[in-house]
Amino acid sequence: MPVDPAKPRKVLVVHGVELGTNADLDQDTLVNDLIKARLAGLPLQYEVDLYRYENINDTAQANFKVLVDLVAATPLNAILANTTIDMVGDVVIALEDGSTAAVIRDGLRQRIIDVFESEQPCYVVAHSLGSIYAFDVINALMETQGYFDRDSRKTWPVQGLVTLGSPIGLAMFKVGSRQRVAALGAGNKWFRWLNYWDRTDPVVSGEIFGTQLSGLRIAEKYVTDDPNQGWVIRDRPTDTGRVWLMAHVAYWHNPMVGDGLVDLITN
Amino acid sequence: MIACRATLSVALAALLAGCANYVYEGEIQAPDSNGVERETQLYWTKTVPLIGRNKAGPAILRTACGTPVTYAQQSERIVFRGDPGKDRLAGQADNVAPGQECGRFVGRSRLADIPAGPVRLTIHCVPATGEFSIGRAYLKARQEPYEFDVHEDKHWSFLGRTPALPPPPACQ
Repeated sequence: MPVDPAKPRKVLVVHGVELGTNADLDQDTLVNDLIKARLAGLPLQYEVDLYRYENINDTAQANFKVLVDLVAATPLNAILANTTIDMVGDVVIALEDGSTAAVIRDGLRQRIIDVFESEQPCYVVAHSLGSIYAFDVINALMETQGYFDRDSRKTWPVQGLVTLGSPIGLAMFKVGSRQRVAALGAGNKWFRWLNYWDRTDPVVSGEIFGTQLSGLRIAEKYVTDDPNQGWVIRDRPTDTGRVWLMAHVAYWHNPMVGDGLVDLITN
Repeated sequence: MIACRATLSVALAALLAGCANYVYEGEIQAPDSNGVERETQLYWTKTVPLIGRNKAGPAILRTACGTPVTYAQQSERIVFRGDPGKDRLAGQADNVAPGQECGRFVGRSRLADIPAGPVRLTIHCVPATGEFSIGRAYLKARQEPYEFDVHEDKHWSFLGRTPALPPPPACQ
């Protein structure tokens, strides 16, 4: 079922490490507001959806939370401990690469295929840990028979990728199949990946105190000289105006990111 | 004693998290890649923390009824890198190679060091359109640089602030 460029573009947002449940997530609204603010009258039809997987993580962490509630001496301690488990647990689940991570990836893959079968051009916007899942799923789709004929974007379930505050440059994530991108093969169409990161974002640098990154390349380290790779990869070191952890959640409101989104989804 | 410690803590936190946020912005009227006279906006932001190094950019060029173009820091240059399938050199039929330079800031090496005042930039690519392209246009390619009179807007903030920008030029 080929993608129809005339249909409204679907922007599929993949959230990152989160507190709370699926019902608390509103990154689709934030991305919609960001695009709308930067469209400036361009005749673009689009929809924004959010792939929510926080409830899958929470289910996997439920036993630990019950244990903490039992041993925590005060209600405040229990709240603090549960919050820590919620955030750290999300990362551990991704790192372990076990059944929970597989369920999250399968769910994302299915959402992308659903969009593909609706014939809408799909653009993935992934934040933080969500960028790891998005990277894995898109690369796996590229290696799946029947998708991503390089010379026909109508066979592409995903037309482009934007990552925000991604930890993909950290050694702990750059393992296994994540050490390279899947080559598209010979042809003349290009898959675009824009990687936005703030120099003081501790999730990007892995430095808890927000030590500034000095280089300019994270995603671009995936670029090779192979003409069959077929990816255009751009690192976009971005001044979010915020510092430390506030920088990690500031991409959703940044006009430069909004302009990058507009640039990507109008192509 | 408690009040003294609290004051010291607040002062320390301000040192660690306080910063000045700058927005740089300028506009010109010039022909776009379709030959239509349009308003074009150039902007970027800079954050100067009380402790730590400045961070800035990327710079964005927005032409009314067109798509954004990014000028980003590349070692000691600020460049617009073209994408195959999206850009081609003016006067040539083929797309640019990945990363080929399509324009640059003239006489400037770091966005974080540029003060308010005249800023010159070049553009020597034209948009390449395909079946997925919508409204693809930007400033017209030409030999001589374009000059923007860039204004500076500065705000002090405790934990930083999301830059407040004038809206992009409207498509009329």
